[in-house]
Amino acid sequence: MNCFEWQSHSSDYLDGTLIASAKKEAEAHLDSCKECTERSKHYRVLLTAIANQPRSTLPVPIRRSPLTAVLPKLDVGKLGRSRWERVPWYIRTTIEGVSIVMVILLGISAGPKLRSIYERRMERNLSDFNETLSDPATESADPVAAQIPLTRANPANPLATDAQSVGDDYSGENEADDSSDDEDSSTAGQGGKSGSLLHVGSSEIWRFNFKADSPHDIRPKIVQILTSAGLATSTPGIGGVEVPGGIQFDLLVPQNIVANLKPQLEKLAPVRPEGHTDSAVWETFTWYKNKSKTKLPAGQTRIVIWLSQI
Amino acid sequence: MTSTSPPPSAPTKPAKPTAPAHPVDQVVATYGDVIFDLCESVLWNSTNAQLAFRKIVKELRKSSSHEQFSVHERAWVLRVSCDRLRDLAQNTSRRMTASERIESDATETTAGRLKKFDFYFHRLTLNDQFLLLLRDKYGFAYSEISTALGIPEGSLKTSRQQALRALEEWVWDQS
Repeated sequence: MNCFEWQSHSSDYLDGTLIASAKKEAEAHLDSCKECTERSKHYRVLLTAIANQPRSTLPVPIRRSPLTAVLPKLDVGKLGRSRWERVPWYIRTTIEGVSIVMVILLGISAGPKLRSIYERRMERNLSDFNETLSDPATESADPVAAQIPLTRANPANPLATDAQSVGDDYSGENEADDSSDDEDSSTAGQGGKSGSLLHVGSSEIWRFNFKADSPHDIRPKIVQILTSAGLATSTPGIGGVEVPGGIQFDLLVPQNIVANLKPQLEKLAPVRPEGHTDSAVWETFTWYKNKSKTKLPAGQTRIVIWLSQI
Repeated sequence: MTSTSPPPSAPTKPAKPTAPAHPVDQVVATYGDVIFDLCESVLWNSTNAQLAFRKIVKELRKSSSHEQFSVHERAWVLRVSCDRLRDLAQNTSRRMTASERIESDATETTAGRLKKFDFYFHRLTLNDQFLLLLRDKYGFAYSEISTALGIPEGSLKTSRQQALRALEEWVWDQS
């Protein structure tokens, strides 16, 4: 018998239940192996310690009535539980429930705020992007805040729209209302009947949107119109800028040429084919004006012409 | 002529029939000490042992296995006790505090460690504790322990040897 075999049979050896031949082998191994002899002694000490552990007797009240005897309170102080687990369950569940509800309410209330913060940040980034594209001389500090969308003309019959439009609190919103009695607009009526009705106020931004099959073809025509209207070729932004989505002209022009520009630009727009009278796709020319919150130089108006693919 | 009538006798209360003792009450009388000591040894706390004992008695009362184990009553009692104690020990067993653990590890002499034998004994797994207690403290046969713990006899012997080896390492091999 070697050490491993003795170890395997140690339980039976200690109990004295080994068969005679195995017992002899085990004893012979112990005589020759000091380590196993030591171990055997240690085991016997351990077994003695276990056997000599003090024995408790069942308390008399419990023996008499095991189910009804009054028991001492559960000794929770030594159970190794956390302090939180020792809090009574009704307080614990209440606190936990309230906490969960508060977290949910917080999430619900914070959601829109976070979203608005995110959107504001995106708008700021967008405005920063626009500023980098625009001419710094003509761009306002905060273009988004500076522009208030007002009226939108009917491209099919701008005159009718102008005439039918109802004046708002903001006088510059509707051209037709003030055109008859405004001296500035009378000077602008050089380009035709419709142009004579336009009222071009101060600090306005006029926006003309084109949709065309080929914006690049229209671009030189617009440049030609602008130069023929009296703008110098050195005017900043007169050549237009290619930006994602189309071509943009953004420039400051004398206030009196805007009324003349509008009918000429309108002529450039592709004609709506017959049978598509209701299709919004063929709204190839639209225009509107905004009030600029930033003060523009006296007698100057900002125009923004936007060319995009139809 | 006077007739004597017997005096009215006081109504006698019929004697209350004594409820037949529940078989579990006999079990408590016979094995109560062993079960309680087992509870206290494993849970390491007298108060929790009393509570555990009551739960074991309740379990014994409603246990449907009583009929099956009527021949081997002690094995049945041990099995129910060990099963119940195993559940209870998960939550209510006393655990060594950090300072106790450090103290037990810091004891240098073997004699000192043997004095703190409880600390080392409770580092063993529950099954090993049950096994050593049932075998070496109460002297039950392997067959009964096997039934109580649901472990084959051969595995019990191996487990016992491994438990002793672990204890020996903790008590002797540290020095």
